[in-house]
Amino acid sequence: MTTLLEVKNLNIRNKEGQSLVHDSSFSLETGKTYALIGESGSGKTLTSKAILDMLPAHLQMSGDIVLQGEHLKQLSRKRWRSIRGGQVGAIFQHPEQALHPSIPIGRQFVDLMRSHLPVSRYEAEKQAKKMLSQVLLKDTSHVMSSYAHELSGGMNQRVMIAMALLLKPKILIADEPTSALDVKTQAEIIFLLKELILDTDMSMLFITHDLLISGYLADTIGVMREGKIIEQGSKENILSAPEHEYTQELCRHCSQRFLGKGEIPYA
Amino acid sequence: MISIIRTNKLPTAALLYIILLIITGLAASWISPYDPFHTNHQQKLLPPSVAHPFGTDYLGRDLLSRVIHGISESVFPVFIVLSVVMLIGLLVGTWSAFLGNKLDMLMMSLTDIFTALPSMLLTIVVVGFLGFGMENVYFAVILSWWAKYVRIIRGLIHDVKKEPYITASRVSGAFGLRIITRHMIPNIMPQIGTMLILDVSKVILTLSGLSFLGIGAQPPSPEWGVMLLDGKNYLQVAPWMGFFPGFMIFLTAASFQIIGERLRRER
Amino acid sequence: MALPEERSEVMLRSMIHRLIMLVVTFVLFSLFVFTLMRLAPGDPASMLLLEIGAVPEQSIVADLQKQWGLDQSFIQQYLAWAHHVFQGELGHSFSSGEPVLSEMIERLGSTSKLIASSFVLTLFISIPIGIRMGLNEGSMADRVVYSMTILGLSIPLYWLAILLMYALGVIWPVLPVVGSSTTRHYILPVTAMTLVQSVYFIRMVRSYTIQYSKFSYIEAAKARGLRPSIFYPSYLLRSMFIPILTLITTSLPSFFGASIIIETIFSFPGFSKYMLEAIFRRDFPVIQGSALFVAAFIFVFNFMTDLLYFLADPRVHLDKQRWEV
Repeated sequence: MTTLLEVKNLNIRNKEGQSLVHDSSFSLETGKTYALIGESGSGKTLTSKAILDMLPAHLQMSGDIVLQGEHLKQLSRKRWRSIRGGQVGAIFQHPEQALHPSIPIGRQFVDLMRSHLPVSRYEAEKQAKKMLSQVLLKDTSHVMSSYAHELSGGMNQRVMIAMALLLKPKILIADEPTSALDVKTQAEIIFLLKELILDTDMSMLFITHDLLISGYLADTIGVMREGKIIEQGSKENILSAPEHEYTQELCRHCSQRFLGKGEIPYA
Repeated sequence: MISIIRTNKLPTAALLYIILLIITGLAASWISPYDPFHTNHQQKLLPPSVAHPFGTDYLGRDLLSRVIHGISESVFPVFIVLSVVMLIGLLVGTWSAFLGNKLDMLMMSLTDIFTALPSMLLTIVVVGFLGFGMENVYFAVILSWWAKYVRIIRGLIHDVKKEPYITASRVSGAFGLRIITRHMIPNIMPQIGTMLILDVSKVILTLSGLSFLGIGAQPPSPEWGVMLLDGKNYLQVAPWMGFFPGFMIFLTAASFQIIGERLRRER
Repeated sequence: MALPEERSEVMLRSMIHRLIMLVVTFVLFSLFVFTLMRLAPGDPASMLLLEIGAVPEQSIVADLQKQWGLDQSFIQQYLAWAHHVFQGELGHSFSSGEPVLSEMIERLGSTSKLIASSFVLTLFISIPIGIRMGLNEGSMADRVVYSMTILGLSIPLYWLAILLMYALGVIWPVLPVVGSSTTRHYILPVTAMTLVQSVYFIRMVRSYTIQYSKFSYIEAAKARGLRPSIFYPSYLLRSMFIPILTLITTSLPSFFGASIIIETIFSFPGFSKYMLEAIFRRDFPVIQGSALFVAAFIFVFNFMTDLLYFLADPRVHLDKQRWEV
């Protein structure tokens, strides 16, 4: 049980000196999922961007992020590029927007693979198709030759997951990947994610505002509010006995059917 | 108020300059040191001095006085022209936004023609056939600019139309001219205002440019473009003749540009 | 789901639609030109009589009018006129007597060289700088360049040309300022035009770059660690292709306007100067002929770039018009 990712005293400030993320610390272990919960504007997305070193230029970051022993602050640009996609995968809220609209899906997979590994186009396509079937997409050839706007939202979501996992990263950052989906698709995607990470022993940083989903997916939960992690701990502790007032508020708003069992009451 | 000025030093300076310019233009007859039309062959082609801060031209006329009187020729007409453009834009644009599909398409094709064509082309055609004279020049400039505003206002009204309170008023039958004038138009005025200010700068350049080419204001008018034309002919002997009028055009256009840019950054 | 066959069908339909629009807009413009021509003060028949020193008697005037078809209805006159024009018969210059068409073609060479070189140079300079600044938004270099563009947009082309003329033609006379006979004659004119246009282009390209890098799919592509040699050309620039194409198309008219000024200042004997001078000589056939030519050129150019849009971005549905996207 090694610590894959460690975030220590992360501070993100804007030009006026306001602290958007304040002194946040958490860690991610192999094979475990950490759910970062908070309302919009709480700083959770910024945190994930910081891990990828993709903060907007006008923000300043301080603190330490250690990925598999490497201090990210000291990394060269080249190293960063291989980490992104190779060791850390990311999926986002709107799949169509995460996929380039004018490039066929297949080409985007190939570009991705060949950016990191010295493989032939044919080999890359083979791997891509394999990944697509793993995310339960049928007719992979058709998907490969389509554009993002020609596929449905749910399909695009799966494509995005396939792309994020193509290079078998150790960590998956999932920033509200299901918030824009209908309930049924949401459930499908969540189940899919759970299976995939169980299969590959991958760690996941799951960002959401939804306590129920966290209950299902996470091992550890951190609650973020106005840039600070106000409470964090194991899933069971947080959900059954929240200490902080705010966390208690959140839990109270959960469905009353939730009894601390960790199951999402979907049909 | 003071804090606004402190953080916006340049735009404030620009605004002050414009205000000073307008006042000077209005009070030209009182402020100007000499008669701008008074020729004096003993004093011709003098470089800038205390007596003649901008020098004199080939007819011995004081350039500073001419520049001062030129304000009402080069700057004030721009305000009038753009006001007309704005009016046309509001009337036609709003009307067009409520038209049916086919008529709207016709209007859009019409505006398409005018936005695709160079304003110079339209001006040449208008002045070429209808003759010289400032009315024709103004007409040509209005012709070049109306389409842009009709398109934009139509687009903005379209967006405002979708606002919930507008839909509600239409459903309830309370919709009418009042709603349009009291609510929709004030809603879009800030954006239109910013565009107009930015365009003042362009139209100043255009109008003076036309005078420079010989279309529009004619000598001995102290219009800045006309003065530049004289300046070009005496470039070798009296470069200040060409420098100062051009500099005034530049300074004035730049001030409006700075103010407009600052306003645009607000949104 | 649009299959490849459906896609080409859509494209063909859109092409035809656009082609129709092209013809319609050109016809509308020709109507506009014709109307203005008819509104020109002065009755042509009386004017001709006065010019040859005769008295414009009512009966003679009426005769001439009938001869020229001026007694027919507006529509009939327009159709007769259009009939000539669309066959390429643009009349003869009032001042030189030569056919307008040949006079225009003679002068197109220098003007197109002027505009083309300026255009190419502008793109060459502005696109790299604009992209660089856009990618480094907020950096020192970016802020300096941005402030310069605000000023740069306010500089009158004619003033800049005069300053350049003075600096490099008078103070330090290295370059010719009149005429267009040698390549050296092109240096100052092209420089002036390029400088002014580049400012605008840099501003726009920078703004597109900023806008487009923020697109989530670009950020997502970056988050996947794509190689720069793939990322910049295929992903970022590909999405910017359309706005840059639009920029080129919408700025073409300003190059024309600039050429009029430049050709006048530098006594550059080109098409634009020819057109301008026609106003002073009240040379109607020349005005009409060159106006129609320029309009036709621009409309056709726009049509062709519209076609390129579809090739670049298959999402674009061309039956929507440009203002709807």
